[in-house]
Amino acid sequence: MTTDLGHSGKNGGLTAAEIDAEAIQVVALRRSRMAWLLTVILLVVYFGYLLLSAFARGFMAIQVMNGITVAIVVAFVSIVVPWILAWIYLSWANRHHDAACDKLSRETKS
Amino acid sequence: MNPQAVVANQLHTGNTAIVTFLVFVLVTLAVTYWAARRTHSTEDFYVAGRHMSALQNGLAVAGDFIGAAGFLGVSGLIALAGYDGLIFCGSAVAAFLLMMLLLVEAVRNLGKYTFADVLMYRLQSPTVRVLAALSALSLVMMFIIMQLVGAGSLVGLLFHIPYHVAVVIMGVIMLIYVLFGGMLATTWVQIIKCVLMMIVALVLAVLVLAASGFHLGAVFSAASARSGIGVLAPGKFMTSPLETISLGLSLLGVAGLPHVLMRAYTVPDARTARRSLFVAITVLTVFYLLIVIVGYGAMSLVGSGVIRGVERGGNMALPLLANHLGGEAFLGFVAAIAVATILANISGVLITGAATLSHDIWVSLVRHGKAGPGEQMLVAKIATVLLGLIGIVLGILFRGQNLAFLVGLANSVAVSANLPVLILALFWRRLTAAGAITGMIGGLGGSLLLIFLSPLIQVDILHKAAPIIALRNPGIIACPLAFLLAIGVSLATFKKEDGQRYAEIQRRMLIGA
Repeated sequence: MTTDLGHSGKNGGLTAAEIDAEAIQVVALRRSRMAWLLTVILLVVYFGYLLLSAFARGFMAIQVMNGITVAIVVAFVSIVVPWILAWIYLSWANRHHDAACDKLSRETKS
Repeated sequence: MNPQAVVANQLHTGNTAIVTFLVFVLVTLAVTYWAARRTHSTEDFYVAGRHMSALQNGLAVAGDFIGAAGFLGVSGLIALAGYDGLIFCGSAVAAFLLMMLLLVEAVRNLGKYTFADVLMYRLQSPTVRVLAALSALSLVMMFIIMQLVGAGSLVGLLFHIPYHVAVVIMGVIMLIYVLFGGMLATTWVQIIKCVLMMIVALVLAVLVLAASGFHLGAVFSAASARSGIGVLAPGKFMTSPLETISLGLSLLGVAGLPHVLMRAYTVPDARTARRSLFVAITVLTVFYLLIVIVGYGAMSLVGSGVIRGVERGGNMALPLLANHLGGEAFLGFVAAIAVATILANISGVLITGAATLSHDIWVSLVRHGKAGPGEQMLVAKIATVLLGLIGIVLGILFRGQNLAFLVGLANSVAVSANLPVLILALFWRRLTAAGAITGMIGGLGGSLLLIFLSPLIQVDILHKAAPIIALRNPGIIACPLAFLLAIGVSLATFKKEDGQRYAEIQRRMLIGA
């Protein structure tokens, strides 16, 4: 967001196409970092839930309170966490990513 | 679903079921008539003119996933096995998040009608398009057969209609939706069904909570009081840890299913596609939280013995619970919705098959993109009728067959033939056409071979004493195999020119054409 890659002038030796290419790289990298970070969190939670189910049966059977075991809590978490991650990505993309893409398309199409 | 296991006349669905189903069919046929008048171009037919809103597409995407399996199957599994049935709830939400984070925006910006367009644009290889189309068509046929066979038994069970009559009726209504109303009609049928299913799940969950004095813990304690404390922890269904992990991995393949990805093209742009997936994820999260309550409610209020007595797979748990809580009228309503959901789902799958056959195979490969609009539309409609009729015939032929191998195969193909190559195509500069081809053949062929060697074929179909490989869900082998083949062959065949094209791909992934 704060890079000056989109502005020509200072970048003496670079052609317009090269400046565009670098600006695209920056936005693409930022998006894929965000997407993969959330993906890794998702996979850790999801496979964590599966591994606990498969290997930690004793732990999962512990009653937290009347009628609710650790397993039930873990299952609810595994359903709700992806929704929270989706909300984080949506608000990030709506707030930052779309603006960056709009800027890119103004600069690279002109 | 096994019709032989049914105790005769256990389910009196009565007139409510027939009236509700007829109302659904009449309303959706009216929608189809309305849609048909607005469907002129191939773009209208394949992707509803790209006019759907985020909310509309989100409900349709969620509807695509909560078919009869998600509605009756998952609630039934929870009612019978308890905690072990929950794996299907978390995986659904996770798979759609994966699609939202990694695929949907780029797929929307790179393709036209199908996900094969995306791979074609990225790799410029007709062979890749053929393979993508083949894997899409095989998934389409597997889904139509599974759903029609399930529908035949379900309709027989609920409405006491002979199996083949039920399959033909369902198949013909599906053909009418798709042939005349195209994607616009199919999407609205899916939206209507999704809203109805949410209402049913909500009403059932509230009634179950009311029976437990609106105390969530009481729902679970009542279930464990009736079926043992074991139902609140991992149990017999998850006996093999490797199988559990492999099933969990395979279920993420939903993120790469062609008919779900195709919905990304029914909205105007990538942003709307992203928003619509958030809508879908929200709907699925709420739906599965409700289904957990409904499943345990059925276990405590109806009892797993009674549920298994009516249908041994547990598929009747939700209708039986509706009968228990709301009487015959509510049972009829739920039964009709369950049948309606199959209609909506097979239609969505059929239009994807038609688009693949006409757009990817005929227009792009046979005619090299030189087909006029009239010809494209004609071919799309011929493809619809062809695939629909093949589906109906196979649906009748497969009566009473054990189709568990198809479920395993579809899961495995989805997670290993499409997903690895699609992810690499979008995120890895060095992927080459040769790498993608090897990866897709490896994923597709590996899935077929591993399912053949698995208990699903060796024991269930060929009646051997022991399978050659014990895994029923080979995703954990086939998916990494596809990744390794695609990466290895790409590294060996990569040339510098291939990398230069990726800059243009990146630009287009972000800001479209």
